[in-house]
Amino acid sequence: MSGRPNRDWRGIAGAAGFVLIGAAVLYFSKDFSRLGAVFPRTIGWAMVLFALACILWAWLRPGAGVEAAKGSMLRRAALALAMLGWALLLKVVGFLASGAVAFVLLMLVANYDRWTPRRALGYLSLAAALLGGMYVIFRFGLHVPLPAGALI
Amino acid sequence: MPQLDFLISAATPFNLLLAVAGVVAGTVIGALPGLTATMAVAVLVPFTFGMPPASGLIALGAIYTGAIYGGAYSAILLNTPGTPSAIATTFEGYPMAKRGDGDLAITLACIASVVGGLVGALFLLLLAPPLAAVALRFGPVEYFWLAIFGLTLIASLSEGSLLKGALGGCLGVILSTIGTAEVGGDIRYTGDFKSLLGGIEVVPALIGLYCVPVLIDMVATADPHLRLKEKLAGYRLGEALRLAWGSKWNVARSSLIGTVVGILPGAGGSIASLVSYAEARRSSPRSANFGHGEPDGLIASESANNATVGGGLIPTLVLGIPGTPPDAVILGALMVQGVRSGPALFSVQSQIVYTFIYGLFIATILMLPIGLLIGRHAFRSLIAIPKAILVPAVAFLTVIGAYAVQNSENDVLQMVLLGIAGWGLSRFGFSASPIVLGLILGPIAEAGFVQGTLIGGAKGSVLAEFFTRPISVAIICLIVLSLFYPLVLQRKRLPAMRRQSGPAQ
Amino acid sequence: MNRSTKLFFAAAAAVALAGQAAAAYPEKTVNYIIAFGPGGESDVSARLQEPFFRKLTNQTVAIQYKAGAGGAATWSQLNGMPADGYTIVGTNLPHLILQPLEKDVGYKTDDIDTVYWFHYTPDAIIVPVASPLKTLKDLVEAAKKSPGTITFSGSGTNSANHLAQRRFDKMAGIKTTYVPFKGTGASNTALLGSQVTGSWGYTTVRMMLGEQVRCLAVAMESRHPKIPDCPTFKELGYDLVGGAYRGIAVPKSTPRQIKQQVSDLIGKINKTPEFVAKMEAAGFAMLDIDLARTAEFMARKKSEYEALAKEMGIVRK
Repeated sequence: MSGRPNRDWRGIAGAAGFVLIGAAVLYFSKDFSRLGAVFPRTIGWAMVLFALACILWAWLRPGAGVEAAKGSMLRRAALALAMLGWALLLKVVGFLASGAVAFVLLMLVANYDRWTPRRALGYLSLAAALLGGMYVIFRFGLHVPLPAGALI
Repeated sequence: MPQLDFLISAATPFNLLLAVAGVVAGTVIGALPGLTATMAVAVLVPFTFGMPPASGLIALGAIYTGAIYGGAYSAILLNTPGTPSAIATTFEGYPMAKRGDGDLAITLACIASVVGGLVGALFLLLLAPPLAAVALRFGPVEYFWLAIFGLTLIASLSEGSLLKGALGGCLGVILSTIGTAEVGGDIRYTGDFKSLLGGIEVVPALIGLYCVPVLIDMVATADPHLRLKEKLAGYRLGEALRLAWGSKWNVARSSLIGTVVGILPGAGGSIASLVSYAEARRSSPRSANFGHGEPDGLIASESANNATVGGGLIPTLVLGIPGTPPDAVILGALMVQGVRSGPALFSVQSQIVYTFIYGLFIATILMLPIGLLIGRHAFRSLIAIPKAILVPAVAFLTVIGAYAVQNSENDVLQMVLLGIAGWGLSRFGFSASPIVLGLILGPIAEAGFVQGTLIGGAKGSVLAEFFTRPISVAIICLIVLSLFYPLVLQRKRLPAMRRQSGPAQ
Repeated sequence: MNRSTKLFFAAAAAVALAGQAAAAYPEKTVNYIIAFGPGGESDVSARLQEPFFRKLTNQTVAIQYKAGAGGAATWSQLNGMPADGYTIVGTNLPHLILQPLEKDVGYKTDDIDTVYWFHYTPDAIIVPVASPLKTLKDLVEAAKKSPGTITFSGSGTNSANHLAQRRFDKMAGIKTTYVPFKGTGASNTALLGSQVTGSWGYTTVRMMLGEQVRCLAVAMESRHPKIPDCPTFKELGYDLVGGAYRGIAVPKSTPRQIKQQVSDLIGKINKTPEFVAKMEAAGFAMLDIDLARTAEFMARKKSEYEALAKEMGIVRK
């Protein structure tokens, strides 16, 4: 890293991404009605200009950007994937089934203690009580039509 | 003394019971991310039909005010606004909790909410009709400028780079244009996805952008989610009261802002709390501490959002126009009850209105003991729960909360995707708040712009419509002031700061 | 068995079947899904139905909201819901006809089986009480004098309000400016604040805003019983009748018999004098299009709205 001056490289990369988004915003506004296009176009141009200024600023003014994220990236990715899968399967599998699977997965991702039979049993019963309790409250108390899906 | 009679009829055992139950239910519902005050009120509506109108209204008012306060819990403890009104509460509340002052933050939020609620209710009691007339002076153009003014708050909300904040704001506005434009009818940026025709709903987006990144970082390390300063010190009520008294002008100003913004239909609690937060930050002697857990910011946000309850009821009861989204539900309930809102309500059916207003006072005061009690339990259990349960439980709440807003699976997917994107953006130095601000204010600005252009065109001059109306001019001046004031301030403070920090470096 | 006895038995069997079925429906809570958020006209009318539903059936209804995409979020999923009569969905016109014309919303007009149209909110021109325009004639004259300068607030683009404005402009040969707002509340705010000349709203707006506003004309066959001072467009020489219609639908695959039961039940509620009184006090106008007549009603409305939509240029290419 010694060869590169200390610059906010991440910020520059992010701003470059915004230039692209701005360009896309402008490009896709071509079919909008006159009044419907004013706002997205103004914002699209503002985005491109701000992003270019951002790149320029980061280039001229050396300085560290965001510090690197601490901790396990693997666990982070696992959580993101689990939640994404949950959201996608909610309708297909059903609320209770997808919820139960996701709950257990997330429990595994978030746990840093050693698994003992007692802990596992305790956590699982807590999970069951939480899921069941919330299901009853939402379904019958708040009249929320929860997705049924193929299972439950 | 008819007023005394109204007070007495508001304080019957049945009404008191309703107020207590309403505040408790509201606080709990508001604390759950995704379950908004609007939903809390809507759930209760059917139960009120069997009651006398005044009692039903008291129950609705109590659950409403409780929900607005309850939103502070998840804002402070999980960095997730429980209701949109608590967005600004996260800015200082969560850092406070992170450093071990979560109990203090909750108590402070409770005090600020009660005071703000009382101020709003006081204006509702004393000045409702004249204030409602003020709301009508705001046309589309004024809302346009108001939203632009709100967007300038990004300057005071962005941590780090101002330019990055501006970019985030732009992104938020663009996200808000996705879907079918209700004003104008264009179908924009849907990429032929049917699920995007309805656009991006604010509440699931809020949950995603604020809560999912917290979850992502929570699993990365074994450290406990929140720290405790020493041992559990109880409510820390004395300390909180001293703090609140120390910034009494902040409380007063924020409550006033909250009331006024609440009166404006189409603005609402989120904008009220953001504006008062920005104002508090500008004028606080400790403005440098903002963003790192400064109680002044928390006080501003919480007193303002509860003041919108009373403020929002002003146009609702006087004009028949809902001041905030939950007021729309209350108005519907009034229609079903056969109570006709309008100017005559305060004279013809004064019994109902004044009993309700006094009931709102009582419910707001009851919020102090109830709020402290629930808050303490919420805080303690959050500290006690092991991470392996906390993470899935909070994730579960985000999913069901995002779903319950419109009972839509698509909203859950949007919530998760925005959350992951938000975490990613934060790694590049772009924070969530400017995006959220753009998402909330973008549609108000755009609707105002289109309507103002149409009306101005019909009147002969669009420019005159936008730049010559008195209130517009006043807001434009505010915008200019808020953009250039920090520069002036910086120039004044810079030499002083150099002198101070010189020896240290 | 001769022919008449056969007929007799057949009739008796039918009566018995019908009787049995009528007694059997509903025997548990009915889910009533509103395609919009709480507080709107669809919600209010459902809330008004609720107590009479309970009284007539001894069962409860669970009113649920599934808002999004102007109602399309619910309607596009309607046919996947349980087809047993225990899930009923509120439907709206002109939404059901206009939305699929405009874009691909995930359902087609003919996919939605409305079994009963139970009321409508008639279109009405409303002005602030201080407005110099006292009658519809004043308004038309003012619009003729300076075309385009008269502004109307209304709820949404390509909505019932917008449609009414276009229809009337054409009938009267005038040009006015329609200013869309997000929902009735925002439109009413602009009206009361005199930001616009007037508003294309509904009779419910007149009832909700009371004496703060004046109603210049309503799009009904005869005057609304609670707004007797407001003439109909027909009286004034314009053949304009319409508004936003609301009905109850069930999934398409629901057996005919169950459809009939749902239709009968809604019809029964609709004929309860107490219910009618409450609905009319809120500004609604009653409508009784039962299962036997919904097809004919929809066909008529469809041709009417399709022609208009083409004229307005909102039909998807």
